[in-house]
Amino acid sequence: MKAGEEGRTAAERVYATLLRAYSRPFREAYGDDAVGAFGEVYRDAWSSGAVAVFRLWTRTVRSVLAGGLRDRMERRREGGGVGGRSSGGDAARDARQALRTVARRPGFAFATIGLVGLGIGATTTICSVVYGVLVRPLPYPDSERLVHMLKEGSSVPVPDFVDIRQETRTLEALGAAHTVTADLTGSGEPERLGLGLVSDALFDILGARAYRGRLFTPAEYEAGAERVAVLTMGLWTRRFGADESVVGRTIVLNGEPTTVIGVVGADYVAPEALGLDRADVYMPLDLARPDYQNRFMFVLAVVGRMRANAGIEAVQTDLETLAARFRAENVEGWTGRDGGPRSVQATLLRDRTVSGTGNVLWMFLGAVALMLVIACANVANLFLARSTERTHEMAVRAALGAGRRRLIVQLLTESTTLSVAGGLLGMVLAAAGVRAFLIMDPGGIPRIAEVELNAPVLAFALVLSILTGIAFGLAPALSSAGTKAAAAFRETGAATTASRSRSRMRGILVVLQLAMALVLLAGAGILFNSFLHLRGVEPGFEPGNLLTVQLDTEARVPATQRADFVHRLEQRLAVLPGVTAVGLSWRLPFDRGRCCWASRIFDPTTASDTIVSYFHPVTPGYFAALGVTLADGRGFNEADASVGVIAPASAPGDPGTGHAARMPIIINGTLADRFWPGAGAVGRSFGMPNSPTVYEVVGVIDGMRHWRLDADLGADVYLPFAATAGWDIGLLDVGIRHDGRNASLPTLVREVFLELDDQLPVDRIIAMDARIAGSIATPRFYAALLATFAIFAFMLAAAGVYSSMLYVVGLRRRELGIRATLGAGHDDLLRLVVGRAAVLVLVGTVIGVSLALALGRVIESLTFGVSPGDPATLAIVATLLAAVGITACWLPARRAARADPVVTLRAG
Amino acid sequence: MRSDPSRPAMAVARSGDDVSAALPMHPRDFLILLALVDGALHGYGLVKAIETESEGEVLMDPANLYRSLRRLERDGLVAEAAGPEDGGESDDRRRYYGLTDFGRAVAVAEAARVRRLVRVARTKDLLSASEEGVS
Repeated sequence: MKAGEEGRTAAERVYATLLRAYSRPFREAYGDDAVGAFGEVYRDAWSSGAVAVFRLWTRTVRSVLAGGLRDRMERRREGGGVGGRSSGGDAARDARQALRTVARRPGFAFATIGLVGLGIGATTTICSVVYGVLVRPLPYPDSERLVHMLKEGSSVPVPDFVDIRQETRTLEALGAAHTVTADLTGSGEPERLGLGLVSDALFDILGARAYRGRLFTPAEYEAGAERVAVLTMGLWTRRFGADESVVGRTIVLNGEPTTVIGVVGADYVAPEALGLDRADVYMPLDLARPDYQNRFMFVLAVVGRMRANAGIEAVQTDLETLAARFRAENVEGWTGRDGGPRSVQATLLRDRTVSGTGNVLWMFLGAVALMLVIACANVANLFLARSTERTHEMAVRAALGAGRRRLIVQLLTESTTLSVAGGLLGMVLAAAGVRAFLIMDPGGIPRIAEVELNAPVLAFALVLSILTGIAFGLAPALSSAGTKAAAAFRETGAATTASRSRSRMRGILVVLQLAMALVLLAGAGILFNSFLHLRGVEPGFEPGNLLTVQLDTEARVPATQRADFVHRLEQRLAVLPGVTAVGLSWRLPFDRGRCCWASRIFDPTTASDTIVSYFHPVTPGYFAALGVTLADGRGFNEADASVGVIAPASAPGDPGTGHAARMPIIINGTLADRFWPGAGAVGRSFGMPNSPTVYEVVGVIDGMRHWRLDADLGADVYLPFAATAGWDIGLLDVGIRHDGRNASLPTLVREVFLELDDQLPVDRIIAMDARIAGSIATPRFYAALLATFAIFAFMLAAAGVYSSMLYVVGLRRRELGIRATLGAGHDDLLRLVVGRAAVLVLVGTVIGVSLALALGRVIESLTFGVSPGDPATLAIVATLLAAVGITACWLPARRAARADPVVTLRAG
Repeated sequence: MRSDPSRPAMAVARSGDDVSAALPMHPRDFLILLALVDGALHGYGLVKAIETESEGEVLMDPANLYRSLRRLERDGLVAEAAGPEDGGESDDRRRYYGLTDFGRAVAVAEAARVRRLVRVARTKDLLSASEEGVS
């Protein structure tokens, strides 16, 4: 219509199409200008990434549809008519006609609505998750400007935080949190709470407000201020029954009276990236606390707000510059032992929060989109079959003067009516789907609590269902409406041009469905295969016949009596019938909580850099209980318990009395190989910055996994449990190896604990097998979810191919009958029909395999031990799909070939 | 003069007395007027200016923007204007919009109205010093 239309980008063309929601006069007056402006807005969004583009589209679709409606309403009010044509009346007539036609064939309508509903339902469910987790901004003011900081991959030491806060030029506010635990005593059952110590700016940065009472005042952050606490909504309702009078009352936290001054707002979402989601109660963080003044104690989770004109790169440059300056000024902790630089890394808070999840969710979105395409192809099949039946009806209408355009609009009205009905069903299914997703998710997805079915996603679903209706309605509509009236009247079952074009369309649909289903099956196959690999990984110890008990003794057993308590506990458990070994640590492997502590260690004989290692305090029975045999050296014995106590590695310089000069330790092969590759490790020793203790290796074990089956082995150090005596940590995780013949062992174990202390909360008595299974629940969930989509897609595709072939063979019945009378044998006919279909199946399979190979990268980060283009998996999937495809062709072909030619020809 | 029936209604609306009839304004309309105070802008320029002025709060879809402009133009607040004179560089395919005198008067009146409200809010201590910048 206008010169500007040429040279439009694809996005501009889509936008121009959307503008059809507006009245024609508006479009004529402003359309080009609006499209041009949108083009520039779109370029801006494009340069800031896929999320921005996605957000722009959802916003635009909503806004244009709403704006168009208002524009038309304004025109109507002004008496200008709608669009200057009588299409309003036509539209109503089309809709009525559509409903009548649909009502005449309820089976067809139900099938269409069901298929579309399934596709839209799955898509909307995953969209809700993608929207809530990835697209929606974090629920904080100026959330795009929030950055998270790590020092060398760990939390940030307090003095470093103070320095950076003072010197930064790119951050306008900096807040920090340290999440610890605290015992709530006094009224009711004692309870262990998560305590979030927060710095003064943090609540401001997160936009948190008080729901009742108030938050902290600046004076309350000063050392020596009165102890005050703010409750989270969760604790306030759960523990205090949402009692208003709690504000102002005094509670006992860690044995000290603390005044509750407020409850933080209901709309406040604790940031997971800062670990504050574990906090039940908040108290002010005193940065001047003496035990915080250590540059090797990595404690603070830090978040900052960038200045309005700064970007994340500028912040990183700023931090590097500061680090270089601190290094030049010889500030402790900014230079590695090998002279290398240490620095702080800044990441956008949203990226830190959802890191690693993006791939998974986009993959699922892709999977459901494929499923939707297959469902659409199925519906298009149904419509094609219907359009054949209705060739006469259309011809009559055309003969009576309906233009090609009117016929197309009428058919599209029918298909969109059905697809919108399907879309509504899909939204209902999605409501259930989202709930099911939240229940089944084993906890591997961040921000999952913010996921809900909301307006933007529903608007998207509605638009999607309309587009779907157009997509599957358009092809049949075009081919039907294009039929010459005369040809249609003549058509009596013999293959004509029109039905030939339809059968070509069917061929394309068959190829499409097979290819898409193959991609999904391949993805699911590879994830499943990878899950099997993961499950087959040896944990490095014997998980069978190993019962574990987790508890926290901090509140019940004083630190000075803990060694004695552990000793008595082990003795009692060891004599239970069926028990063969007992050993314990703070935490046994495969626990999501804390297991150990991390320290940097170094080999004093070389100038090599420090290595981060994980320290596990263990009792002498630990390795026997876990079924670990030593690769070299010896295990711990009772004599090792008397070497003395080490000061916590993270405590300030003062070693204290009773401190061990030499500490016997057992290390794993990973650490041995990094310090002393190829040479024996037993008899060697290493040191730790800030600590005079020499750590002497007495034994070496091989790869024992503590966290995950799919992670590389870290450097682990085991030391006698007694070396941590007196530490303020009461975690115990007891491993009880048994012969598997005493079914009542868990009950007996519980009784032992009750005898020792009937007030001791014994958290969990659970088999180690179950703990390992729990650690791979997330990959299992992903594999299962993708497999569900793939199986649906596979069944839909198989049904689609079968019905297509049934139809195509039906069209050729007459031809086959003639061939049979002319002497073609049963096998010849079969070969003729199946041969053509086999080509389609083959093409679909080849396209599917190529697509699966090309898309392999998408799931690469989710695979373990299997390449994303694993030939064996692809071969199995391709063979399976081709076999099902051929069978779907063969069944109708066989029936046709067996039919009596005389009957066939008469019937034709 | 005013009673002259041949005179178009719009001209009546333009008279100074009727500025108050255009108040209070829809916030988006006010943002558009504010964006045009510094000079004429085209559609994309307006979208960006509004985004900046509202600190990223208001992201206007171009079509919606033109719908508002159509209404503002009809009410005599804005009018098509010449683009910036930059040596023939200006893109003649784009339509520029500028404030009319009446539009400027309405913007001033609306600003004064908002200021009165903010004053009241301030006396009630609703805005602490730190929040003032944001609100």
